[in-house]
Amino acid sequence: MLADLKTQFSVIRALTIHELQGLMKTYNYGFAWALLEPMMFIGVMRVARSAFKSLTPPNMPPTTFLVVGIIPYYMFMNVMSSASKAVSQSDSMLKFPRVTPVDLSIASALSDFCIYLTLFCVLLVPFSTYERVFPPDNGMEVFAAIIMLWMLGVSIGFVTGTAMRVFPPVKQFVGYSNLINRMAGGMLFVITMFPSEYWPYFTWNPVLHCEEMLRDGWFTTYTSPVADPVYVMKCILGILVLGLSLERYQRRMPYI
Amino acid sequence: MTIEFRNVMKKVRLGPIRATYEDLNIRIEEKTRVAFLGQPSAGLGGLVDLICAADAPDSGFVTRTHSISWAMPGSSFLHKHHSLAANARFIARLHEANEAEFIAKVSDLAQLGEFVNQRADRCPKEVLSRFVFATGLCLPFDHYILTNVSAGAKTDAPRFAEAITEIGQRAGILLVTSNIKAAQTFCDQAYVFAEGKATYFDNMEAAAEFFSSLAAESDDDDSFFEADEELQDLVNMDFVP
Repeated sequence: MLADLKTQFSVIRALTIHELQGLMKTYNYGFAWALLEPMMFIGVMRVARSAFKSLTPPNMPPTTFLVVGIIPYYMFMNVMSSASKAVSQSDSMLKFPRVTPVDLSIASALSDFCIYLTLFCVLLVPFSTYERVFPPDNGMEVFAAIIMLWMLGVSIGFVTGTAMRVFPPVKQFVGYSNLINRMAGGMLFVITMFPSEYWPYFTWNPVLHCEEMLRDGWFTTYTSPVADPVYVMKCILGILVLGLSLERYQRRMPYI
Repeated sequence: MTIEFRNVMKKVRLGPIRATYEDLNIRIEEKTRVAFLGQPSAGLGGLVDLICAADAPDSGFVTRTHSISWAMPGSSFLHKHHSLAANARFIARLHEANEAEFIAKVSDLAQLGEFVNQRADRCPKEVLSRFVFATGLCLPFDHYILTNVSAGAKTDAPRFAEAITEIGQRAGILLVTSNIKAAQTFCDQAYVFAEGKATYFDNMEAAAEFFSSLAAESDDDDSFFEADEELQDLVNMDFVP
């Protein structure tokens, strides 16, 4: 059992490094896009905030507020997408008998984690220093929220990936749900910006809890009234068990 | 310690290749040297994917109880913008081998010389071909899956043949090929694949004779279809809507 785990760890490590090294191949496009897309979004939101002051809460500096919310959310989206792709499609790496779709999913999710964590630090340190909100109020809470978002992304990726493998149009539905999540997931707001009677419409979403934890952990001026890490862990556990079970069952099916 | 197919059904769809295998029962024991003989149209690549667990059968079971290599020489892992040493390091990490020792062994067998630290896309094709073959041969497996027995230039063939012979003495070999001479050199048992069936031979001469007769029949069929343009359009056509 321990030997198997050690082997799987070695395989995931090798694949993660291989994946990260592969990014340099299309450096101008692949890696630059990872940097450019959230940067552009932050830029647009920052300009919009200048026009409409109520877009971000008054007790948090706007640029740091946006960076703290947007980068981890992009990580979540990309982790979910790459985990799902690794499970749903055949890959040349599967020709190595040691490599399984689960290893590929975790490896590509880890490489996304590395990219976005670097981006998070590179953008956040100068912006938060400039806006005088550095260091974070509770670094551990921020890091825990990022890890939870990553785990949530991997878990949902397993479920959507297995669904896509048997029914490819699921991809469209995933796209729509991502759009809804983008609006309702707390990337651009904190829950206190809405009257409390509307909170139950948002708090079912584990992504919102993670975003709340991020803002709660970074800003001394904000304490989230709804952030619940236990709820997020329960969601991760449930979705992960479902995703891994589906993946295990589907391994017996040929690729289309 | 075996590789075993039990009642396997597999529809192989590899580009223009269309083949359906039904009720395959194959057992490959440890340290045996077995050939899978089939024409390129037999779609043996699909069966290799089953052995390597890269794909699953439509029905039935494939079990592996010992360590097997990937189908060598395969180059899908190569990052062309990286040096050969960096690519070898990936294989070493994947198989928990000592990186420095592995690179030295590969470099020695493939005679990489100064190319070891050269970007893969700047290496001559012969060097790349020797490199990808050597990466597999330099790792310890219980069973080696080969789709070719040579790499590089013709002058390199004896060295690789010697390496494969040496491997055949300590581990098993599964050679997937349409090259009957190579199969006779390195293997002592064979499965001949044709018309969705596998026929087992424990004698390579009988396997070669059977395979040659199938090849001759296939040539006759080809000339029949080639004779008529309309019939030629029907080759490999999928009639299922």
